Amino acid sequence: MIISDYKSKDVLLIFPQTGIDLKGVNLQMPMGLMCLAAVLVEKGYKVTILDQRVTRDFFKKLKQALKNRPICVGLTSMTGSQILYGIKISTFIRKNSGIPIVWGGTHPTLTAEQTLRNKNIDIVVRGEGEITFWELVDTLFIKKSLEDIKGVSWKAGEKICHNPEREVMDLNTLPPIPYHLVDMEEYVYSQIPGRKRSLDVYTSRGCPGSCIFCYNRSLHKSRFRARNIDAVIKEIEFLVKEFNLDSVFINDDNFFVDAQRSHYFCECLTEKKIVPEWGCQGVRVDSLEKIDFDILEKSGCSNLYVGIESGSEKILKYIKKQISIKQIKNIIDRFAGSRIIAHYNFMVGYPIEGIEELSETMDLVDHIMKVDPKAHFSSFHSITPYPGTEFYDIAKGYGFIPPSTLEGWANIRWETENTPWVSSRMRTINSNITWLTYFIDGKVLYKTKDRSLSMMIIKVLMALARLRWKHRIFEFCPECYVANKLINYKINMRK
Amino acid sequence: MKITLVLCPSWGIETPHLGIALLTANLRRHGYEAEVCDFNIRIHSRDKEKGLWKSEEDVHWENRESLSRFVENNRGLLNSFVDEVLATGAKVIGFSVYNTTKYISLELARRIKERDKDKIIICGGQMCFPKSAAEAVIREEAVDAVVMGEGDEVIVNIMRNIAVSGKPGPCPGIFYKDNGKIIDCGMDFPIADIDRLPFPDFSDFDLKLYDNPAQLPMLSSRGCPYKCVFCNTKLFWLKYRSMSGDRMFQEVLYQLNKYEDVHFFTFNDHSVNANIKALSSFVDQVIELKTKKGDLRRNYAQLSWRGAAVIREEMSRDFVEKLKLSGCIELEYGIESASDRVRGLMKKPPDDVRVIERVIRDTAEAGIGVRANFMFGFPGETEGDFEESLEFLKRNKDYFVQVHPSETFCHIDPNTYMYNHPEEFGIINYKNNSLYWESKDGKSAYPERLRRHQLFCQLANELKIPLSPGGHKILLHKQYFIDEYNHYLERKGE
Repeated sequence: MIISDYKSKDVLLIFPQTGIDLKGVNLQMPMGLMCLAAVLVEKGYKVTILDQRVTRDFFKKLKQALKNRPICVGLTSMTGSQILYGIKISTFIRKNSGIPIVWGGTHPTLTAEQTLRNKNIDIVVRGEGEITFWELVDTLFIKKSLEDIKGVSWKAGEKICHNPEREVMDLNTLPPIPYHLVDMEEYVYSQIPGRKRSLDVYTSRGCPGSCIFCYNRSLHKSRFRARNIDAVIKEIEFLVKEFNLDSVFINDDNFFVDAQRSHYFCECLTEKKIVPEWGCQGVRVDSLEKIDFDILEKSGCSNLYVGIESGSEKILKYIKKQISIKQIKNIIDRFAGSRIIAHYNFMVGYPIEGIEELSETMDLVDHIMKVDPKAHFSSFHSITPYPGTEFYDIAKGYGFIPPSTLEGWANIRWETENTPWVSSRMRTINSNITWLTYFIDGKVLYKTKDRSLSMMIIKVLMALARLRWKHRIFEFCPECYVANKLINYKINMRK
Repeated sequence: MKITLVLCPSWGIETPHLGIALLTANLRRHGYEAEVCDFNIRIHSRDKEKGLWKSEEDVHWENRESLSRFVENNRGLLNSFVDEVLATGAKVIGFSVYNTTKYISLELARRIKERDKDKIIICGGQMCFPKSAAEAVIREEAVDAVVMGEGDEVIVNIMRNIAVSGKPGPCPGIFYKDNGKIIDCGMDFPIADIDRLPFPDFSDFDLKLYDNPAQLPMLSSRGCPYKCVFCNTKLFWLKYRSMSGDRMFQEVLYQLNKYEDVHFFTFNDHSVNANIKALSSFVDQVIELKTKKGDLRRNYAQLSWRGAAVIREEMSRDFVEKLKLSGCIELEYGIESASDRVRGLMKKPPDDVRVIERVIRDTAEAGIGVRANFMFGFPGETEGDFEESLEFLKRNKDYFVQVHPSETFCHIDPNTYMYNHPEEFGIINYKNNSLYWESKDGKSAYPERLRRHQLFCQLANELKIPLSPGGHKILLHKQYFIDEYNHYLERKGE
């Protein structure tokens, strides 16, 4: 039985570093932890959030927090190097206290058994944690057994127990987010070109799509659930006023699923003139088909991140994207006729992708650049067998051997080297394409502070990338190597 | 893990199969066991019907009926081949599938699968390209995967896949079956740096059984940088790539030192001189080697070579003399037409016939045999244009060791520029049959092209210029070709 020898009614929540954490570039607020905190605060617990990415002398502060002997410590982790930082923190906590260590988030949810095999992790909260974690804290507080808490996996001595799954929550019952628990200034940055102060907003969870590369299928059962728009608007009003924002960014899985709701959201923003500009990620082409771009524009929508993934009909079918090139081209034309900047996402490295399929993707990028020169492209990524995705199972059939330990998932090489369907030459080509696509459009320019040297280097890289793109030369790419080195150097300097 | 690479009859008997030697080398470099079963040369060396290996007998090897008889009459022999392949113990069996090897290869594959269903059958080669052809081969029950395009790396990826998952795919460059479902993995990227590839490994071939045991094939470049409108080479090779002169020389030296009887190399390149800088560096090193004195591993003075080349201004008198010094004994030039206007329509270099005349004269006078290819009735070729070719032949009769009038006169292959731009060339009825297309204005049709071919061949005979066997064949059997055409028209009418 897991017993908490707490001293106070405190709960400590930790967001471990993710690897490359750059303020003003990719530092988003730890929204998952803040949602957990929202419920706990309402229930009368004192919550402390320590974000390792922004906390100086993190381990010193952690030690201090542990001295209060909280009921438990909760850590979150995605798949990737964040796990490594999480493990280090858990080891430190175990060394300095007997406080129960709870892991949650996407990776522990999808690999609960393996996560709990780590000796310094006691409990895993699977799936949505707001209710589960509150019940867990309550149970630990009254020193009872965990066996009745839905959505929890835990260690009963040597045995690992997986309690039944918890049903998903009604997002409208979530109490207000306790923004005061973190230093919000750390997370204010330019998400939208030309704007300086933006914060993330979450309005819904899940997506009805069934793309094979996305964990949405197992995490949200391909279900879309949404918050009430009036509540969302109130929250945006609060954020804009409180943190002096000039824009907000919707960080949903798929915001536009319900066209009526989306239009109502836009009308509210237009009517109340709350924020000059907004953007949104996780946009599906088919969801946009029912959306009126004029209404979007009037509401201040200026940037949308659209998942296309491939220019090949064959690949779109393979990944179960459920959209066609015709649908994609229609949306491209609509963006071209509007002021909204589309940021298109593509992937490479599909197991059945040959030169023709890749060329179709590149031709589609060329088509976009021609008909809509203001469009941006997120740098291409290789398809990866993340746990919980359908592709994870498919890849195992191709000989992919998933890491056998939690630590194994932290090593970035698992996704680039343990992919037997990619030859070493194709791996180089895909990696170079990833770099080049970072430079083929103008997106790096607005992200770079106006320093002449950086700007000059970027302009040279852009010229080279465009030349390579034009002639489809991807195998020998020394500047990709140099660019890699320079960016790493820049990251280290910032650290 | 092991693969056995099988070459069935009928295939060339001049040199061992370069493609198989390249695959063998790369497989071995990557740590896979590879063994070659060269049934083609073995049957040829003991078969009484050696005439069947003549190019005009290709039809015998392509015809299912005559091959059924062959298979029936040689049942024991084919079963002994199956025994031999199975005795190699390889998990994977690869077949080189050409129009002339397809039938027997698939028959062997079927029998191998009958005896051991766990064997994995891979097919590659000419009949596995383009995609539509590969799809036809993968639909054969016994076949597990088909390699499209260049296979050097693809075959290694297939072996790696089988090692990790038991299945040949997925990897670019193949069709394969996954639980009975056919998966199209797309074409692989062309290998950008062909210098990195290992030297072809001919050690499993019995060179003595070939027509010229002193001869080995070589491929110093892949694809072609030119854009002739009638050619679809680009479709297979995707991109022109050439070895460096150093790499070419190293390969030649390696083979010379490995096989003491070998001293003659045939370059299978589309144009051995497309990268003239690399060729120049190669010949410089060969000349140095040939003239080297002292303690050498063998006598290199005998070294000689031949290949196909493009006529270009850079083929100066000095340069061709240098080629001769390096051992070049023969060059095959694609002239196609002596009319500048027609070559312009073809986008075939050079743009001035005087360059052609100068280069063939210099080549011949340097002591290098000149072979030349010609085409007839290219869309837009007038009688006047054709006569320019005849006049050209007369003017330059002394410089040819052989002329090769195209046996198809001027055919239109799918995926050539011509095929994709019929309006530009004014061509019709080209889709169902590449031979019998017509021009919209009615000026070029098969009989007219045949007439021009005949006139050219007759003139070559009068001028005592040796004709290629194909040229002779058509000259002798003109009526057969006319009948075939009429038969086609009748079928079309029905």
